[in-house]
Amino acid sequence: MAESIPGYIGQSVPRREDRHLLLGEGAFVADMQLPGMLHVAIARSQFPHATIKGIDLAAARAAEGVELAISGADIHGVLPPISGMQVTTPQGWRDRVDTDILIPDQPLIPHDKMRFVGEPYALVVAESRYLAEDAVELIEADFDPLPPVAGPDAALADGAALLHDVLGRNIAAILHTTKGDGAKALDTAPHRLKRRFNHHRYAAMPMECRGVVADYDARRDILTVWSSSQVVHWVRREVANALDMPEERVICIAPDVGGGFGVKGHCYPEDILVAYLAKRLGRPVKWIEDRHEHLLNAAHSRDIAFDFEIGFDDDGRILVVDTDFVVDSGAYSPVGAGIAGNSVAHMLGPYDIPNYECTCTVALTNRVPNAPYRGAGRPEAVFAMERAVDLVANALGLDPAEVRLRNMIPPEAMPYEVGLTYRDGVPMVYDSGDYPKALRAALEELGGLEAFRARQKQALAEGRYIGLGLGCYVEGTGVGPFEGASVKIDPSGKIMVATGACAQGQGHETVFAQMAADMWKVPIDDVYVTVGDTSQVTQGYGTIASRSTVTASGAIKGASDRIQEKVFAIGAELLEAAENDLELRDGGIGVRGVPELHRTYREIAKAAKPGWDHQRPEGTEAGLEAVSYYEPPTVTWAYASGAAIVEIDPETGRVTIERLVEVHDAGVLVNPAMADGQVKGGLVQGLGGGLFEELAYDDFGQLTTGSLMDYLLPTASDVPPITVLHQEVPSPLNAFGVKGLGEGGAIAPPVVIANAVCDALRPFGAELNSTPVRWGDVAAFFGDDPFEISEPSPA
Amino acid sequence: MRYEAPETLDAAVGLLAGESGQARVLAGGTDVLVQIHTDRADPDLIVDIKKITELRDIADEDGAWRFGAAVTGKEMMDNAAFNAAWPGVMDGVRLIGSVQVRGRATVGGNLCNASPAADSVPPMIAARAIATVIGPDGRREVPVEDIVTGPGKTSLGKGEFVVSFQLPKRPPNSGDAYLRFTPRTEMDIAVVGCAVNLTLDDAGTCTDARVALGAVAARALVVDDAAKALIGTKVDDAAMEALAAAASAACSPIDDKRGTIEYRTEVAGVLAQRAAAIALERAKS
Amino acid sequence: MAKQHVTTTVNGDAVELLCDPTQTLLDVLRDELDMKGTKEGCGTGDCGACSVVLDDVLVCSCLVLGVEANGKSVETIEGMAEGEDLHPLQRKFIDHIALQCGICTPGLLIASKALLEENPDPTESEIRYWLAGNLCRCTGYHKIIEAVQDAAAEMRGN
Repeated sequence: MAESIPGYIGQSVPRREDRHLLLGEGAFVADMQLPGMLHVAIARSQFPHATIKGIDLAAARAAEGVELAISGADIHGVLPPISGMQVTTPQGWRDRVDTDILIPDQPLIPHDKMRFVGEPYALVVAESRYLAEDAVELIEADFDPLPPVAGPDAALADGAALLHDVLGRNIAAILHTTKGDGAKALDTAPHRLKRRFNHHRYAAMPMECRGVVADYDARRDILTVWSSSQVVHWVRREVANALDMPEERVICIAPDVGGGFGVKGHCYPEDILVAYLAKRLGRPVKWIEDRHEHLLNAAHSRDIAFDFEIGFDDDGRILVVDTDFVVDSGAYSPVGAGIAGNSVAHMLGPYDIPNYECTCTVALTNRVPNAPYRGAGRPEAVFAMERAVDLVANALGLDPAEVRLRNMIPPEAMPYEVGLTYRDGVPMVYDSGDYPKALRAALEELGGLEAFRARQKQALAEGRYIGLGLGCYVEGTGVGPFEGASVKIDPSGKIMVATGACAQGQGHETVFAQMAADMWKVPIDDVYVTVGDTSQVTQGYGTIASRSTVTASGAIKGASDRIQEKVFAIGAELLEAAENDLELRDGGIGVRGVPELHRTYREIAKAAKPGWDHQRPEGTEAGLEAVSYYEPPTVTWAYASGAAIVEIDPETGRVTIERLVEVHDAGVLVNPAMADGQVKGGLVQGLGGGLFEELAYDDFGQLTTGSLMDYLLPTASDVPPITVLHQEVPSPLNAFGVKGLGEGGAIAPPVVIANAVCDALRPFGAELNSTPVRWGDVAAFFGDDPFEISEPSPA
Repeated sequence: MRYEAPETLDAAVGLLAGESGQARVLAGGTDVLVQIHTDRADPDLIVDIKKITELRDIADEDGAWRFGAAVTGKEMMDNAAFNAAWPGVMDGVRLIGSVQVRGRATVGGNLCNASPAADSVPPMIAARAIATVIGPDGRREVPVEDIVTGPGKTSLGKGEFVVSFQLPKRPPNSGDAYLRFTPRTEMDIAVVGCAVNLTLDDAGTCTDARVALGAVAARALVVDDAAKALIGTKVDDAAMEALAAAASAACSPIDDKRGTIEYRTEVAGVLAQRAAAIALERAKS
Repeated sequence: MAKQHVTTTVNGDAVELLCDPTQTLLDVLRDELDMKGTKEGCGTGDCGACSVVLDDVLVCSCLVLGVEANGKSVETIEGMAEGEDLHPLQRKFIDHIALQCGICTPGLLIASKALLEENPDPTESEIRYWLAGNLCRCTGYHKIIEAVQDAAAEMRGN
């Protein structure tokens, strides 16, 4: 049978997003210019913790070009805070995981106290950004400094100053999970090893900062908000709620968005404030975050310390993991216990570990709020676990690769019941994959383990220090609760697709067009895709958590299936054939095996129209459009093995990465070249976090990394040769066999590098149990006492 | 804020002297404009000195070199003869910012911004560069190491600015080098910087040396003991050991996330040795 | 704040405007000339998103005052394609998927073009160091480097 239209899934078709971006015609929020537009500048706290005594806006209000100046007092009682429950958790999770959650609400502008350096205390709306900033300089604010809660230890100490009096504690959440009997397993384990692992504070740092433009059409009572957001439907919900409008009368659009990686994955005070100002002032209002503001105000991430104990036997079989960890959540916790929940769920990784005991505390401190960033709790947990695996290997004199292979869940054990509950409330089942194969492939790509060990020995004899590091992980992807999609067949016959997924550079428009083209057997150019526009699909969730390819494709398919029922019915009518004899092909529907019996979608759409002269069969409703909400049964599990070879300069401690390899499984790759770009981009972010990037605070609670000259993103010349190998083990949980891949790349590199450095410094017994890997810390190992294998403590 | 771009030194001096408020000199602008736009400077007057010929020239004066304080890094990199004459100075210039930044940034600005970590400053000091300074009281000549007095502070008086730098004629068998240590490979601020400038006699014995360190004190340091460790030696292993020890001994760095005091001190010695090895190689070639 | 009269050439077109002395060239391009192709990533010269060519020199337009452009020529992303015909670098960026979100892309294209004008046959290392002033957070750079190499080869006639 002739199939003249190729299947697009699996093809590296060029991105439809690119041309306008390459011409400089990208339309980001900062590029928007509306007639009569006003500009916002925000006054931000210089105190980590302080009571507001008074804010005098008189001079600012009198300044040139100023339309409005307000402080927290002006909106207190007018605009509600952002609820601490932006993200809800299902009952199934709360039933199965022992939780104690008290997430503080976040005031849009506090009227009583400041809780982090960078928190807004007033804002000015003026005719230009320059004038607004000048007026901000004229605000006289009087604060009474309070003792800063400078970190989790301070937060949890007896008598600590409280950030949120209403909570009565500096804790947003406590989670407790068990599997098997952790205490007993530790007591009886032949060996046990205890360490503290720390994954430091760093952040997504997209090259576009955040920004919001809003415009209120009073005649139509429609408020349009353009936000550089990953979750336009959340923003719409929060704006509608704050302004007491029906959600349908708020349209939220994410135009071109310059990277997100999680930091734009929740609603911020500015989203609501700008919307409010536009409605109140009756003019378009624009706020663009500058880079310094972004560093001070947009969510930070990571920042988890693990007290970690692992029990194992003589063969290196891991019997138990017991960990207490603390997340420094900063002053608020916009995504609740999401990060902590991910750490809890991902700790055991690709290993078959019978016993697990985990308690997590989400601490509130006077720092920038902590929200998910690419990986979101996984890089942190994987750092702890994968360092621990290497320490087990060291303790037994085994190769770290061997210990991993001995503990990995074999492919024949798939699907594997983990014995924990995911945050969608469903018991965790690793659905598919071959973990040992991924690890072996990574080692092979680096020339093979034995060959490397020989090389390493030779190098050491020459006074050179090279090391091989590993990092293996699993990642729940495609999480619910749902995603929405609307599909329509236009009278022209073109396929119109809209979803609640929002793009920040991933290439969603291309990927969804590929998938929809295959669903409808049309040329890809016949598919029109809209993302990030709430007016196009009633309910949506958004792009976070490695979920959009999985969940949006499910919704597009659900909507398409429903329309296709009608298309078959109408096709049968037009072609005078049985539905069973029909197939979608060549941009329409036809009788199998009879090329000339075919109707285009344009013809079908004409037949389906409402009104006179339609050609619908009896009982078929008019119109070819459907909305579908895909509710995934649960997550599908991606995984990877990362590996790197490093060389260390013994005089300076500088770590040079010779090669970085990641063998990654995201199921079926819709667009392999784009998938490759996603994983590589993630890997380089992971390298940045592992080596350079750090949001550092001084003893006074001040952020000392306020520019991109202090917060060091990897540059083109910092990036080592990287190879990504894709294993494509299809997911059994969805129609296309896809798994998510947005976050994965960023998970392994910090621990891969740390393990590689420790491997290179084995002669010194080096342990690096904190990120970032600083050259100075590496250098400090040289000159230490020679390596002694410390006997693991007996049970 | 007023902007003026005078075409003569006299005009520039007059503008700066006549300003009752705050005035700032604008050369490459890669520091000044950042300060203005991040509210760390709020001048009433900006005097752009890039239209003054004497500030833009780069000239070989009988083997001595003179270049204007507003010559950009890129212009210096494009001057092959200067690169051949002072490769160590150029090591420093090449490390200022990015290609984009070097398209604007100047050695004069790098010096007068008075960052202890400025990359072109240690090699200029090691090169014994002399700055010509002009101001309301006329011209004066100042060794480069005496311009900066501390972080963000210089010895320039009100209305004064640097016009040009003079580098002495080099004896044969001379070489210089600058190395810095940073987390990133490019676009970074030195954790430690070290410049070595040395001269050999025909037998390969070091007859003259000058060593300067950056980022390990409130301003770039001239380390005489480090130079003495080289002079009179063949720059052999023993001399290198002594050099490293002297360089480390001279450090009084700050402690921050980029490097602890101990680490900066240690690396200063390592960089001194490595810079000396490159300078030696250059002196011999 | 008295505005100053500035005469400049942007992508070959003579332009006259009144410019506040505090305005950067970036702001002048975006706000006064409505040329939004040049992007701001940091405003402090650390990211290269605002790269333009000023009198044949690659610079960050956030580190240039608008008044400094008086009498000079400015080249921006808007001048890169010839009508509908993309510059080879633009085409190769599509072929190699050298962009994701695209906000750093105009700066990277301008910087890459400046590189190839100075060095038509750069090594991978030369490309990486030249582009070190252009931060990209999405791609990890690999596909950008490949695209520049490929464009260079095509432009050399290989």
